[in-house]
Amino acid sequence: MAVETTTAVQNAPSLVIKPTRGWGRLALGEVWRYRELVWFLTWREVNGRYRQMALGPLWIIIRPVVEMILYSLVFGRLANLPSDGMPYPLFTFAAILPWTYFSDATTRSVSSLVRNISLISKVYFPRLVIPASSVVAGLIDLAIAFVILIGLMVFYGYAPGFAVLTLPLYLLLAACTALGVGLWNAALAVKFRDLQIVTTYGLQAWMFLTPVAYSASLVPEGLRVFYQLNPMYWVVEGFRWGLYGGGQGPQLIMLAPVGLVAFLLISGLFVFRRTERTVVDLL
Amino acid sequence: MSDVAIRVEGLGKRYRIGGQQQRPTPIVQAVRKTLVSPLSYFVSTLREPTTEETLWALKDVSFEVDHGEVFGLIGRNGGGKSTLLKVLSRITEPTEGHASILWPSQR
Repeated sequence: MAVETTTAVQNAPSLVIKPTRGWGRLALGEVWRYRELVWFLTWREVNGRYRQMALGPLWIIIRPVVEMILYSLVFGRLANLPSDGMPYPLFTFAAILPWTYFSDATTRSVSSLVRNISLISKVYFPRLVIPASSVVAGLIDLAIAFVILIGLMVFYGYAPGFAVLTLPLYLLLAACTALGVGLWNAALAVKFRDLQIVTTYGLQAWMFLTPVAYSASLVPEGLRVFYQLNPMYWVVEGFRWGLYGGGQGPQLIMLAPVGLVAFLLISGLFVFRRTERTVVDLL
Repeated sequence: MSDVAIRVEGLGKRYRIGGQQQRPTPIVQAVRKTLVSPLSYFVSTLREPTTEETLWALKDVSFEVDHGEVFGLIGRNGGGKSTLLKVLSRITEPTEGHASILWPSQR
């Protein structure tokens, strides 16, 4: 929405409401002014998710642990896949953590507008706040599940080096990827609710394209160039690298997927801004 | 001296109807329709709406409200009262025209 805010001069318009032509501006400054709402919605999302559940927030821990046990049994024991010489549970858990965060953040931000329809249709605020808080909310789950990871590291006797300080950067890459995918789909998901189902399947396929349950060394040399275009490859491998010196550390070729994510995010912001203006009319 | 708080000029809001609301059809018909043209909904949302599919909830609305003025907005069901308020509260964007919200002037 085209909004011009001016200081309170003699009867000068403080707000002009008119149709926006073309793509409009991003107005990220306005999102910043509404940052308190991001925190509030994040808190609501975290708090509301485990209401009316017998085990409540314990699920944050149970989910990745059950996944780790399943992968360890099926891929580690049964299929006997290599884990770069690491204990398989630790090998896969180091990847499950960032992957779960990414997949949750994406799913939640895609469905965020649809879920918050009652809020959107009643009061004005920059709509960007909604998918953004979905992405932030996942960080709290991640922080809690991290305790299990520390336990596993102690149990298997691995201590991280200074490389562990790069983890927030990898997390940022995962968050930007999730937000980019989320922004593109959130506004469209209001019109085509099918996108929520598509996202589920898309993420499932994406997970198999990312070395979460298997080692990247299984991928044929010739395909690696394409394989490494996946930003989540770098996040997952970066986590392993930062935590116990395995996986794949940062390389120059990483700039390609980072650029890809930047493009996804910026174009997503514009698409979202364009659709948010009249998204209420579709409800 | 008048002290305008809200100034609305030539405001219009066009809604698209028909594409969304489909009459409840028997399940057999619904299945047949899905099989014959599975993308019909998708296609219908892409093309420009025809005149029968659009509804002007507001057209050429202009008025001024002063600060402190009690302003009554009366109309029939579906007359566009809520639409006007939704546009003024920035929940949705108008299709044409513009509205200004003004601070009270310092006296």
